[in-house]
Amino acid sequence: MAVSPEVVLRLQDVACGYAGRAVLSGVSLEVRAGEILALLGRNGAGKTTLFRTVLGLLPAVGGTVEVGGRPLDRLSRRERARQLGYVPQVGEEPFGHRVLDVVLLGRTASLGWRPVPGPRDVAVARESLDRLDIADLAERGLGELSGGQRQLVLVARALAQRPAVLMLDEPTANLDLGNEVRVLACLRDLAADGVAVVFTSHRPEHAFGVGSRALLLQPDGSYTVGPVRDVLTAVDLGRAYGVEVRITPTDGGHGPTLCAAVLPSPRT
Amino acid sequence: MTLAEPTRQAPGRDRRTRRVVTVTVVLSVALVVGALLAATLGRYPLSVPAIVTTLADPSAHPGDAQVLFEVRLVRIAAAALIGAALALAGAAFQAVFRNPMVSPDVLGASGGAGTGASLALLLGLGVAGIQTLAFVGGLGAVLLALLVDRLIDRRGSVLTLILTGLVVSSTCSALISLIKYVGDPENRLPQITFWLLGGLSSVRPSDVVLLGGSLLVGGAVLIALRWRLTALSFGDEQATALGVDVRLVRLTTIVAATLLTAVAVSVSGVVGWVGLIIPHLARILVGSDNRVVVPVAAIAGALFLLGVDTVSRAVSAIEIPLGILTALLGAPVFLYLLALGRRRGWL
Repeated sequence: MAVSPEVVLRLQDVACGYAGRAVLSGVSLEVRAGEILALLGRNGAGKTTLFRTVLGLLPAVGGTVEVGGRPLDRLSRRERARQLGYVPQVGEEPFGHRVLDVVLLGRTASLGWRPVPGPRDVAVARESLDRLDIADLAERGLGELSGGQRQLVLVARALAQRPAVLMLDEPTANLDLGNEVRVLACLRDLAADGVAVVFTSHRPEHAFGVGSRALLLQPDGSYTVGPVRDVLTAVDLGRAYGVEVRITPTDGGHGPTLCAAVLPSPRT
Repeated sequence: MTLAEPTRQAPGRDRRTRRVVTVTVVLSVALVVGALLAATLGRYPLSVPAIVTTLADPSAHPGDAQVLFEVRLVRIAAAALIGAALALAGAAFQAVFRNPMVSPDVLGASGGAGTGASLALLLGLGVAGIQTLAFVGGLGAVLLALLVDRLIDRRGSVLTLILTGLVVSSTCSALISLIKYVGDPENRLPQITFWLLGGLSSVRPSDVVLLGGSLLVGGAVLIALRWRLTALSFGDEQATALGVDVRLVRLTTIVAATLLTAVAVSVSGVVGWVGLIIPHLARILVGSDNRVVVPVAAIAGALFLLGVDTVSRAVSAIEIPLGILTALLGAPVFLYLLALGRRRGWL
């Protein structure tokens, strides 16, 4: 029997929220290297809050977050950045920066006392671009790229941090159908290389497509976590989003699993 | 899978590097040549050969040497150092506030310095007193802005800080007006007005030492932090996730840039626009990479203020105040940059 990969991210009884008031509490879960965890829930359910807490951008109200076997609050900013790679939503980056320089920013945590990145950092940055098949964008300006390309550049930047866990905040928001599925495929490939991936999404189909596990937040603050098909049932999704949901496998289970909400009946 | 459209051949790092090197060399050479030419201009005639001779052997013509070393070079050095300091501070502030419209006195450095200097003039203090109070006032105004910001907004947003700076600046102008109002209109009032217009006519060798020292310290800090400033341009959250201590970098940058501004303003009076337009000019020349923008802005700032100061003292018998010239030149240049920026989409 194969030894299961190491746990790289562990949440124990985590409570998270703002100004000491918990929005969400009692969250426990483990993510192993090579796994993809999809985070789902309605707007305001606490996805982003949980996400920010795991990244250490928001102090946990209770419980512990462990990254690479060490509690998050004992890690310095630099150590965190070498464990957790954050991929924000596309849309707020300043224009005018060259793609290679943006990816090089991923090396900042590894600079130590050096003021600027050196040739070895450039090599790591180019390698990250290569890994996502976007090496030919290196010399372009970020402002010239399409949304999908920019999203991949931000993934490359996070990869240049050489993190154990890649955290993506709605990586497919604002992308067209083709770019959406390309970004998902890229996450699948990264996980196959042993990176643990955590992403938030509004589309259960993404979890069915590439997720190994899913965490579904309910409006009342409860949650379920486990294998995608066990967690994302029509009933639980319906409860989470407050609508009726249909889940349909295609091509006898070999094609993509479709998931859609039923339009509420018209008012009479 | 590939998202990359087949586009033009990688425009090449070499072309970029070549451009940066060309710009740096051209600006540096222009600065040296400009300094040499500026040294020839003035009431006492000095030719380029005479300057070269004097530089090689100061004892050859004691008269030339006295004018060159005690007057011309002091002023040239002061103009270049102040230009470099203001441009560096401007580039740093624009990066830290993620706002290209910000100038080094955004947190009240100039207003505070003006208040301090006006007070010193009102009290009839000497040059040393004016400079000291101007420096203390400039630094004090920025510290006040930082403190008030800390009290109002504990999360430390950039917008609150800019607004607190604005409030401190306006309060300073009110105080300056008050000092002018109570000042003796025969004597003190013209002095205050003249100081506020900015100028280098009374600059002393010790000022150059002071300016050089602050540029060495403040400049070194800003040069060391310039990569982290690029990370800050992506927002506090992303910068933090990249491993940058956002608050520390921001505070250190503000302190270093304020030191540069306060020292410069205490020597020259209020010289506006340099810190606003020169960083933009640097970005147009070499792109938005702070690794090159910050040093290039320093050289360009030195060249610019040297040029303007030379015009201010050589173009007519009566010296034109430096602040007036930088404003007259700065306003149209700024409008041009604004138009260019809108067209190219970075504003």
